[in-house]
Amino acid sequence: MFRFKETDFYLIGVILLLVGLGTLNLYSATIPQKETFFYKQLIWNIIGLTCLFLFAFYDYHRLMKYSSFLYVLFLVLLLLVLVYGRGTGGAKRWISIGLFSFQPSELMKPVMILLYSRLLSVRGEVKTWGKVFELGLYALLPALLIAKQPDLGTAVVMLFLFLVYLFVASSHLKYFFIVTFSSLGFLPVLWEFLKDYQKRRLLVFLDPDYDPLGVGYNLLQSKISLGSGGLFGVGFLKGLQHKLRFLPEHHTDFIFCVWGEEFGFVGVVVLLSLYLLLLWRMYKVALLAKDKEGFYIVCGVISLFFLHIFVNIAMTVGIIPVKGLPLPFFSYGGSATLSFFISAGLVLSVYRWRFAKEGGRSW
Amino acid sequence: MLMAVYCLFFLILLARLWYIQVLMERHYKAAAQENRVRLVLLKATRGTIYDRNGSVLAFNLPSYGLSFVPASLKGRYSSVEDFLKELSGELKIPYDELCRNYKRRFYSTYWPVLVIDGLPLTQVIDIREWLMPQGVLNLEVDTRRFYPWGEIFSHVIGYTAEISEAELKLYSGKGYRGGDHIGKTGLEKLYEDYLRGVDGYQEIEVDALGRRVSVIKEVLPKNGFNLLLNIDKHLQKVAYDALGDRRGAVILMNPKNGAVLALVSKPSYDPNYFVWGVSPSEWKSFISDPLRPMYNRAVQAELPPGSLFKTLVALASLSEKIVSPKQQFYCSGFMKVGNRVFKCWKEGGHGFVNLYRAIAHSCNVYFYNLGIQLGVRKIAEYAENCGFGRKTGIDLPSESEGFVPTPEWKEKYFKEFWYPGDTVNLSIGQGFLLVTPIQMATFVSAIANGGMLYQPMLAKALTDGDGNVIKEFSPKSCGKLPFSKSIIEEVKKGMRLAVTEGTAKLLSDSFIRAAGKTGSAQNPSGQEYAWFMGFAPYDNPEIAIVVLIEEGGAGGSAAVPVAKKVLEFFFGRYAYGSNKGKGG
Repeated sequence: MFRFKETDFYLIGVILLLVGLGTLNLYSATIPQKETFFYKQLIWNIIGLTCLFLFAFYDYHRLMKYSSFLYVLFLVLLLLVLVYGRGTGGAKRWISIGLFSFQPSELMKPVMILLYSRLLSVRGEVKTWGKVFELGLYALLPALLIAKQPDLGTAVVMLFLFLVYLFVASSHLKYFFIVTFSSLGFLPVLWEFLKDYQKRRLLVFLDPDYDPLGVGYNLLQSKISLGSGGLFGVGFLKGLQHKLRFLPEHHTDFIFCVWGEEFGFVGVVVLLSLYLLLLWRMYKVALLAKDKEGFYIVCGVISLFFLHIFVNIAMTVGIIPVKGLPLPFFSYGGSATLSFFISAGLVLSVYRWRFAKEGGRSW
Repeated sequence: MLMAVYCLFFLILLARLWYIQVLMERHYKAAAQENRVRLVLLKATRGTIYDRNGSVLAFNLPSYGLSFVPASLKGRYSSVEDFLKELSGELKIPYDELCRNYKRRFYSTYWPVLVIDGLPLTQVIDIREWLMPQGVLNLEVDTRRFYPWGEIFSHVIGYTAEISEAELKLYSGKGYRGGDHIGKTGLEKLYEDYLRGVDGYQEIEVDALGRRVSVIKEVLPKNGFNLLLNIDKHLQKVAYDALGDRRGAVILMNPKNGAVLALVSKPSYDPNYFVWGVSPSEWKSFISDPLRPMYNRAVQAELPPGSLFKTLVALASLSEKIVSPKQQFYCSGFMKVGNRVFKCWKEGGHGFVNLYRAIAHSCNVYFYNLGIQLGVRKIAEYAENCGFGRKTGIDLPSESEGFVPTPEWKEKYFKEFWYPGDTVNLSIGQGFLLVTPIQMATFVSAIANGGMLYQPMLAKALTDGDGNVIKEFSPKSCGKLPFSKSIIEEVKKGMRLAVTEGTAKLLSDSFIRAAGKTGSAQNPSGQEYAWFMGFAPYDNPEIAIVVLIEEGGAGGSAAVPVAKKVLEFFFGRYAYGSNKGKGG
């Protein structure tokens, strides 16, 4: 039943280490809020770990068969969010089911990966422009719905996944490059669709000191947090920037600053190395994957993690505009946490099922 | 391939983090410090100003203002402008004014900006109801200067008002901040460094909303020193009233030490008006007022001394042995110098006059003779040695120097020779010669005390809050008259004769034994400047006085009655009166 070599302990170890560090960091970050976030996140992590193992043991082939159904289901949910959703600051992101609420947009991420992997493995590589547009449309639909919430960051994730699959699963790289560069040309048109606050964010990104009270405040404060950490940091629980609430969104979007302030550049290098190790280990799984399905899934998950890590940290250090993407296993947030654990579970599943016979089961 | 690209992006992140955390560490650490440590000012109380008897001439009233921390608006208002607009609507204070205050006093997003100040207490109560629950605005209690005697002392004390941008630059390094009040003129300006004290502060740790978490460090303020003046409040008021509606100045000085007991310039202004801030247009109307109320005639006016100058010519002539006191000249009512005829003020002349009578009756012809014999150079030299043509050093800002003409000066500026007629004019204090009333006061004091020139002093001492004397401003001699005591004695006799039978005869029916000299200096643009300078009692002078009335006419009829009122009050109060304030 449980076989040693079927389980990637290396990957599980890295994930557990990240979850542990992330939880401790959240504890430090949320001291002023009387720890309710910390306990909530603990519960989410436990649920997440359960999901991780459930998905690890479940045959990804079977799961993929439901991908179209799941995709349609979540599109409907995204539509419902726009109608019945609730949230903070004018944005509607959550949908309530009984006692708890969740963000369909977060769970749409693994669903997208499953859908793309299924389509590409069943129908083969992308060889025509028609295919390119079809695949693009699959990403564009949820992206538009999510952008309407508005949650630009998550919308970008959908489009990014499309590009990733274009890169790994097309007969010719020209498709990838042409789509990438033509969408860059499309940016000015997109600008017109942005909300005022989103435009301001982009403008402030160019000059953070321009409006220290407004959006620039976040960026300035995050850099102050990181900078005051120095080489070795101020020490665990000793970070003051977030405790005195100068740092905004310190338990979600700007959680990395808390780590950076308390553990300094050394701590940052350690954390980035762990993330790189995570990606590297997943890459190994991708190479070991028994079939195209597995390979595509792992590629998608790697890219998903990479995008979140990069965008979150790049935003904190001010090299890309402020976009609210959570940092895997560090940021507070139920749906996002689940999404990361499920995605990692898919990778473990690919690792586990590489020994199975076609369509067979291992138990 | 994909992994290589991802690794590359990770390297970009690391490079950027290296820059922020290692290279820029000091910069951001300082910024973090500024973030959470805020200085709360503990303002020093400005020193009180007292007159010589301990009456309060300037003190502080509480003033209320509102401040806010710009960073604390985040999440509540979309911009500072929105907040100011709402505030403007609620308090009915013009939006422009709030914006102006905000721009001028903004220091950093984490520091409180005083947007409104000078609120009356009644309005503060209304504001509390509306604003305090929001927690954005803080009530700031500050002080503002108040001058209970208003116009009477404005030319002595001056006033304080909000520091200007130019002053902030000029006094950078002295610790002034925008919104501070600073002495703008008068004693408030001159003794600013003593009066203001040293502000203290509290270093408090605050959270992002500016709420106090703890006090890290406290430095208590050192209050400013109190200033004690030589001025006598009652005497000042009597002198002020005695001038009536006329433009002019009155100075009373103790001839024994230079202490200024009263210094009046009219017209005057209410200093309290300026403390609370005037708009540029109001300021303009003050400055362009043809009566020039902001102009301190006692120390700034430069005028011909007229016949007052005859005393100096008399002293110089005796000293040069050109004339002896009893030697007589004949005044026929005019004198011919070259082709020009110079008249005596008295039609038909004074007949035979000696030095005493010449001073007493202010005979021009007598002094024309002395002047011609002395020559312009001697007169100018003596005038300069008697303190003319330079500042007396009174402790007031913007004192004028006056002017003593020389032949070289005239050639340079008028391209004309110095004619004998110019000397004749100079010898009776007309023409190019210009003096200030305060110069005349030091001069007549020196005559009264036998030759000592004292620097006039308004300030007497500085005391701390417990009344201990910190610094005493002792009399400062600034030279001696270049005449022997016996010569001065002869001129004093002439000045006494002016009171008993001469031009200052209006003083003769008083209980005071005064001596003096009148003057009526020509004014090209109107009636004459009426002058009087004198001292009393004649035998042992305790007080010296100078009265100037612009366009007052003859000194004897315009200036002498003012001097009489003031002197009688003085002696009624101090020398003879046992009941304070009863005399006069």
